[in-house]
Order: sequence, then C-alpha cells, then structure tokens
Amino acid sequence: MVTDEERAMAMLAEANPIPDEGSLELIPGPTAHFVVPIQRSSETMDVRDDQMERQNRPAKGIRVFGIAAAAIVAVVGIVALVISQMGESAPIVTNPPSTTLASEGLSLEEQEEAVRTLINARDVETLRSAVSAGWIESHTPPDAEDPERTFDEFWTSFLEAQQILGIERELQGCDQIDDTSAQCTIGYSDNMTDALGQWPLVTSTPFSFVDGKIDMGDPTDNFLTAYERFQSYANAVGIQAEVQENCPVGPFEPDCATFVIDNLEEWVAWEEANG
Amino acid sequence: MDDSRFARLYEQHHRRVHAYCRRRATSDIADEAVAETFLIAWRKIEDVPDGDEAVPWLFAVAYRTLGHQRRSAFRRTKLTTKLASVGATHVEAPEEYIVIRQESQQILEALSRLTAKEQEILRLSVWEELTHDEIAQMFGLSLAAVRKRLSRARQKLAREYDRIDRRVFSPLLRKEVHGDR
Repeated sequence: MVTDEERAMAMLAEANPIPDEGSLELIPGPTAHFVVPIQRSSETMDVRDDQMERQNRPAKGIRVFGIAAAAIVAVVGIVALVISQMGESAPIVTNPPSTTLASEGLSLEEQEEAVRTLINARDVETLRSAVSAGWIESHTPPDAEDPERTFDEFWTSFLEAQQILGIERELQGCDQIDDTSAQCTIGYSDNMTDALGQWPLVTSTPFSFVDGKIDMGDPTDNFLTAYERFQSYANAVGIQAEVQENCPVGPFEPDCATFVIDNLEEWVAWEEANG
Repeated sequence: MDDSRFARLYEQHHRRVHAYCRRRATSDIADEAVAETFLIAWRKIEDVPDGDEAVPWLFAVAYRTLGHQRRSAFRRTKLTTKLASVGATHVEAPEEYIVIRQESQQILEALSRLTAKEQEILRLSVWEELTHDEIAQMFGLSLAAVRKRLSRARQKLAREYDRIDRRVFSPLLRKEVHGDR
C-alpha cells in the first residue's frame, strides 16, 4: 500500500526538470566558463561576497534592548515547546525533580531528548512567573512595562506578533557543561531571514537550571537586528510616519509585525540595493 | 593557488552544480550562478573539501548565489512558472504525457505552497539525491534537525497535493486518472 506521502515524493521525483545531468549542454572546461565572469565582474563579486558575508555575520554589539527581548523571545520559544508537548490537561510540576543531563555516550537525538525532558520538568507557569517575578527583569522589553496592560495581555500580543513574523526556533542539540548547565544549539529563522535567503541562523546559547528556574544566556537576537535594518529602510524611503503609527511601542506587537510583513518585499529589494 | 585542484574540482562537479542551478532557475540565471559559484570556489579553494564532500559546499554557495541573483533581479516568479519552461520528462504516449504533465504541475504547485526552506530540503533530497548527512553539512544543521524538517516537509507536501488534487479532479476523472486509491 502506497501512502499519500510516498506517492507525493514519487511524483516530485518525476517532476524533476533536469532528470539527467548528462543532458545539459555545458560549455566544456573551466577556462571557457570563467574567464568572462572574472574579467567582467570581479569587483562586483567582491562587493556581493562581502554583502553575503555581512548578512551571515553575527551582529556586533547587540544593544541591551536587543539582548533583553532576545531572551524573552527565546523563553517564549521554550514555552511554546512546553505547551506543545504538555497539552492543556498535562499536570503542572511545581517541584521539578532534580534532573541532570548525562550527555556522555548519548547520541545527538538522545541528548536532545534529555534536554526536552529537563525543560518539561519545569512548567509553563514557572517560566511565566519567573519572567514576571523578575529573575529575568533586566531582560524585559519595554513593551512589557506598559502600565495599561496586564502581563497576560502583553504575553498574548507578544506571541501573536511572533507568529506573524514567522519566528521559529529549534533546539538542535546540547552539550552538558555540568549538572546544572548546558550549552545548546538553537536554529533561528523568521520571515525576514527567509526573504533574505538566509538558512536558519544557528546560535549557541547557554542554559542553566538553578533554583527551579531555567535561565538562558544571551542569544544573538536576529529579529531585532533585522528590525533595526527595517527602520533604516523606513527612514531611507520616507515611511517613518507609518512606522511610528503601526509600531508605537516596538516590533513585538501584532500591528507592527503585520506592517513589517506587508513591506517585506520592498524592504528586501532595498536591502539588496543598499544593505 | 592550486590550479590543478580547481580544475579537478570543476571537472568533477560542474555538471552537478549546473543541474542543481537549472532545477531552481532559468537557464541564464543558472549559468551565471554556476560561474559565480565556481568563482567563489576558486577564490576559496583552500576551504573546499575534497572529493564528494565538496558537493554540499558547492551547493551551499550556489544556493546563496541563486537567492541573491533572484532577489536582485526581482525575479520572484513562482517555482511552477519557472519550471514550466524547462521541459518535461520523457513519456511514451500523448495521453500519458498529459497526465504526467498535469501531475507534475500539481506537485510543483503543492511544492510552491511550502516554505522556502521546506522546498529546498525536499529538492535536495529528491532531486539532488543528497543524503541527510550531506544536507546537514550543507546548511550546518544537525542530523536530527534535517530528519525532522524532511519528515515535516514530506507530510506537508502530501497534504498540499491532496488539496490541489481534490480541487482539480472531479471524482470520475480522478478515478480514471489515478485508479482507485
């Protein structure tokens, strides 16, 4: 019995536009193929190469706000992970058991599973309480300090904005440092990095588990770096007023996220020309 | 500069890189992307792995180069449109050709509904026949991450295809074309 998935894959193989590499008519030999491009565009290539490297280079001197929101964003990623794994009716663990990562001798998948288990041992409420109680106080973005909104309102809005921006995180693996800390690799992508043709950016982030809390180090905040670039674009093309109107309190609001996405194509084109 | 090493690299892999680019872009863009890919390889020859391990390295460069060129030229046409001009697979009878063309267009339309990353990982696996290890190497992902992404992409492709299939075919025609499933 062929499954729908297998059938789709077979058809995709059939739809291969170049099923036989030998059928391609190519110019023989490297010399014929390369002399022209090198002579024509060596300077352009340098610029392009530099641009590509710059796009992929980790951001320098991330501002405190960037670090702050990055940590919150990362926590949200974990919350989403926990929610997806626990389900609404899952029991809340108020006193998580002492769990350690025994990564030695484990496969990558087993290490990953060990970390998920460790994270699952801490419940959603603990994470949220931890944020509101201030253990991550210095990491709280200004949006969360809006006196006219409750923390839950902020949180809901924050999650929605992330969804609109297409922010995805994937825990790819962890190395144990000691009984209470680990260094984890997190793949990050969003609609901006997708549009710019970047594969998920990988950051190495320290985690520590102390007093029932999960603390994260300072991951590179890719979205806020991108948002700064978006603001540069907005200033350059004269849409500051629209940005101000849609993004009065920062980028992690649904209206602002929608505005960014609506302007994505133009922004990327501008980045290519001016970035 | 080790010219002989570069020459070997080119001779060994240029067809595969060219095919990779042609599967994703029109002929002129692909030609330029191949040239730029090997130009970068030439400049960074010391970084290029030996043997078949060079393939994921070259594909990674070609992937970025293609993306860069497409955006620069505002060539954001959908994959289906681009591939329609490339040509179809060889078939025996006209009626079979029509069905396969139809299926190819539908599966490519389904593919275009996936995210760019999902599309790319499927094409690398199915069209370029890269192993999971090679895909992981190409994009600096873990093996587990590649497996998960591939699994999700396969499921999503099947779902999207099913939606298109239901839309296109009436039940009677569906039975004639696909048989009872």
